[in-house]
Amino acid sequence: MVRYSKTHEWARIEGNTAVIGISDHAQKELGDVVYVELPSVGDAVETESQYGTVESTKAASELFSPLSGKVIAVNEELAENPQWVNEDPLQKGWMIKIELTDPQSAENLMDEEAYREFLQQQS
Amino acid sequence: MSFQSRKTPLFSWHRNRQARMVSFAGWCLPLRYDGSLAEARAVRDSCGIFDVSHMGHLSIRGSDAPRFLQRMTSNDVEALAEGRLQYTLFLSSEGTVLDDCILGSLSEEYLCVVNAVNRQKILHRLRAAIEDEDVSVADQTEERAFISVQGPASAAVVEKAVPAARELEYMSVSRTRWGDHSLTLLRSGYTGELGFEISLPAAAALRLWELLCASGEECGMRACGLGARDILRIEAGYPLYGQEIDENTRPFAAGVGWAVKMGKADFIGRSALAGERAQPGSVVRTGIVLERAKIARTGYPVYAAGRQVGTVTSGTFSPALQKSIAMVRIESGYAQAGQRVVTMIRGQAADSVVTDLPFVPIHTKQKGIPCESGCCPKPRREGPGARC
Repeated sequence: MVRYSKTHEWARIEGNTAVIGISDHAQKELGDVVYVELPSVGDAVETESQYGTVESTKAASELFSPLSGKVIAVNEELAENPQWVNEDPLQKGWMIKIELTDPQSAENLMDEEAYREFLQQQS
Repeated sequence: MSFQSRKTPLFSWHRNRQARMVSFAGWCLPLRYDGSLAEARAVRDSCGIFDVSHMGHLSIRGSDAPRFLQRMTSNDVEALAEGRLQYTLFLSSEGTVLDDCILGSLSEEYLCVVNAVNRQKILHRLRAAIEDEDVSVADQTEERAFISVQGPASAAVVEKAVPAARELEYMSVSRTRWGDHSLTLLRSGYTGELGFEISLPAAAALRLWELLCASGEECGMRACGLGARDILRIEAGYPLYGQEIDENTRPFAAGVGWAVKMGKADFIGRSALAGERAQPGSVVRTGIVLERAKIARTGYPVYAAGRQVGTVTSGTFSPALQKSIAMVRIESGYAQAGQRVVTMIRGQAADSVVTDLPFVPIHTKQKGIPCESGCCPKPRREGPGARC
């Protein structure tokens, strides 16, 4: 189950964990990603708070967590392969995996169809 | 009065190609097509084509034009032979940089290519400075297009469409017929590679652009946006007005003092610069390479010995070096290559090393070398854009 935030992050929820990354729309807006700064395993992240930074040739952009929890894994491979965020934002370009504080809170996020509509409204 | 960005004669091509467009100096221009890094790599490996129709295109005529331009610009117009190009500066009477430009000498006129953002300023300045002399200044920007083809394969690509390009040496300019149209062909560019820039009537722009695209296809030529143009000019160590140079910078500190000829006849800004060469404690322009891929963006401070000694003027990720690079304005005591400095990036210290400019070898004077299939040189590297 993939859910989206209004700040163009996605969360793939599996039980009480979520894998988090940025949407295909977001990577297109950013252009070539050259650097990703991520938290460490064990760090706490909070809904709508910054947990990292993604740098493209155009600008540095804050990464906001769509959900609250504790970081249990970080995509270390992005250090060497930041372009994966452009090439495959929903799979190889994942950023962090968290253990959710409140798995129910994912219901506040948009499903794919709602996110598509949200993008259309914005454009 | 219109607040809309001007469209170049190639606007619909960019839109059909689904380029990401951006407003730059009042013009709507492609920022990127597929990706700036791949576009920049294509220029280093093969070639790229750019719509630079936003650049100001001024024509200066009249029997007194040489003397007039000698007075208005910092480089030596007397040393500019017919058929040649010259990098030069317009200075304020205080000796600061109003614009940098390429001046070309043609049989009946001088062509002056100015930065889009400074076009009106320079136009007004030139017209207001005409005294009792035979000089006229015409702004041809909006009736013309300007197409740039850059990279080791550019000679092969341009020659197929415009054979006269074959004769052109670096920093030269010529006029040639292309069908019913008159082309102005420049061997110049802003990438550090062998390259050509072609000025032509707006009505003919799309036809030449498409012909060049067809001619470049087998070489893996890519259409390139402003994003790639910025990466390439930073790698080549070229200044950009508004970043490295502006009305607050003086040419010697900005690393463009070589275009100020103090020995020539008097010119605007000369007296203010008398005796000013790089002095101890003064500021110079140089490069830094960052140890991680975080980008040092304009305005970020540079530290050494516990205090700020410089400021980033432009930074980017270099696809040629696979490193984060930046141009800096820095105290000359800290400008030696190898000097370790710290760039503050959003509150975090990033270890950096001072490096002489340019960051990449300059190939502007190179001759185009044909590859085995006769269209372009062998790519220096595998990867996108290196398909030949």
